[in-house]
Amino acid sequence: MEDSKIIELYWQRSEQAISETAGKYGRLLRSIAMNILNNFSDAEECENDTYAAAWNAIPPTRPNVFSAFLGKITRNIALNRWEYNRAARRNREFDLVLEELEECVSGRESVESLFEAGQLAELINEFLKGLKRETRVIFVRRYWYSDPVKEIASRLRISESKVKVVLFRTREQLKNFLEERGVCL
Amino acid sequence: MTAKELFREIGGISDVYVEEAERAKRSLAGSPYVRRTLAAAACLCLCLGSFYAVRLMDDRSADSSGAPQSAASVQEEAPADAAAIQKAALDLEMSDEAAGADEFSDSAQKNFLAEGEQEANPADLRGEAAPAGGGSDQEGQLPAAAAEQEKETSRDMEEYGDALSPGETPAGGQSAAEASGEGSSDAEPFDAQEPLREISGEEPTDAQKPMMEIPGADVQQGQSGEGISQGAAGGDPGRESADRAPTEICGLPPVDPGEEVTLEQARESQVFGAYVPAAGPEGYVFSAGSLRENENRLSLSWTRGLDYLEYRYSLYDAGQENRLADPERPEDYDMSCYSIPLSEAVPEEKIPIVDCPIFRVQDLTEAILEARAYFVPEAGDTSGPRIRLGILYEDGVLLEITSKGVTPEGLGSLLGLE
Repeated sequence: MEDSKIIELYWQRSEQAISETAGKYGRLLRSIAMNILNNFSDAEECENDTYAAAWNAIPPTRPNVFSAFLGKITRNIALNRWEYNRAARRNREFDLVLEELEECVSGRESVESLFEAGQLAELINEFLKGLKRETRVIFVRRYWYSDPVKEIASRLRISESKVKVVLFRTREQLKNFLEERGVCL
Repeated sequence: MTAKELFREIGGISDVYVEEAERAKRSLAGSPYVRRTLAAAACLCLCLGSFYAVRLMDDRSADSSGAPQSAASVQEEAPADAAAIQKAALDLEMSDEAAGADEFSDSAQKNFLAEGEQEANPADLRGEAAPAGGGSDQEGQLPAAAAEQEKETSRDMEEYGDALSPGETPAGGQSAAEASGEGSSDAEPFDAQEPLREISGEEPTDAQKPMMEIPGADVQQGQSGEGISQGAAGGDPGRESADRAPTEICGLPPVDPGEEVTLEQARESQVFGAYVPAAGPEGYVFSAGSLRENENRLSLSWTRGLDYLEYRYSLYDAGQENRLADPERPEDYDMSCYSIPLSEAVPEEKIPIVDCPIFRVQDLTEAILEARAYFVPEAGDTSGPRIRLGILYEDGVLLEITSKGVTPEGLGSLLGLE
């Protein structure tokens, strides 16, 4: 079923919307949650929470890209769950993602940085716009979908080393890009 | 801000980019399993192709080349692995041709035994004794199947020789044995791969010496009809000096490899000595130095495992102006502007300058060295940065640097950058 029709079902408050969403995007949402949590039951729970959140958000929201809308919800829910779980369990792969991103930030919290946080996504969008398509896909797959390096290499038919080098350079570029615009993370 | 907060912010990027990344689907052809299978299949095809090519060449040489050198000498020159290949080919033919082939071999053996008294000692062919001065150690290890093959080859050649009128030279050239007027199998055959030695025993003239040291130069000698040569028995003096000998490549004139110099000697060079460092980067060992005074060229190299650093000194000339880099134009030298492979990313007109830009020494900074560093992920190789650039000194000396594994900071300190 097309996304617009599924969204229409949400607007009609038809419960079929949930089953259609699960049939079309369930696997994607589970994989996003799995990349962060590395636990199948937690990922499944995140998936169900996503459907509930989507049910509550539509209407009034009418998402432009339904897969990205659902993915963002799953990502946020999974991140909250990861924080909840982190004391007891560790997901080495997701820890790696965060460790990589630490290269771009100072680790300190300040009033300025909290203010900047609201505008940061826009700047990152601008940064991504200037990247080559392949580099952008690698960056988004790693830091949005939290895909393992091996998975990205396999998907794009390139070596793992190349993915690592591209990510390394892109993080450097992102840091410089933000610093040039007066954003000190 | 923490990494987790940045991760959340990245979550707010445009849906367009999220969708774009989602659509970059995995390709079946790109999966590691499929790639491995394809690679294995390609290797198998290559092996089979090579095997049949060897077999085909073997058949052709037996059928048509008819070089009237003795089969014994052909086999004596063959290396051990070639004998093994011939044996495999022979085994295959034997199984294919079954009984008919056995009869053929019997008749060939009879022919051979009848003529062996004139041509060669059959004991030699069986590897029982090496002929004095002409054989190699390997001939004593020839397998019986290879001797069988020799017999067949001998018979074919004899038939071919009968078809020629007396004194007629067969197509395909003459053997060294014939050229020297000796018909015995003790004479070694003409071998284009062997270094040369004058049969006549006369010492070559100075003008002839460089050519004689070039592998493959015997073709030219043979064409001129002068100085037909043969491989040196029991020694290979030409090969020992091959690394240092002038070498003709693709018809270009031989390049003088220059005089070997130590680092200390290089530092004494009047032209370049002032720019030669006292030592290489930390952990690197000086491996070679070469000076060509007459061409104003000096090469130095240091190595550390698979990593290396090469310095090439010369005098700048106006023809290299297209490689002179302006620090204000990073697109001419900043490797982060381009992706690997560079051949696909760098515009054609910029290839010379991006490949090896020349910086005036006063323009050179550590930032430039960092901009020049790039990484090439290659399985089995070290993952250090690669740097390539030229430095033009005020007195016209040009230093071209090629390195792998040396960090920009390390190179900067070696060049005396702050």
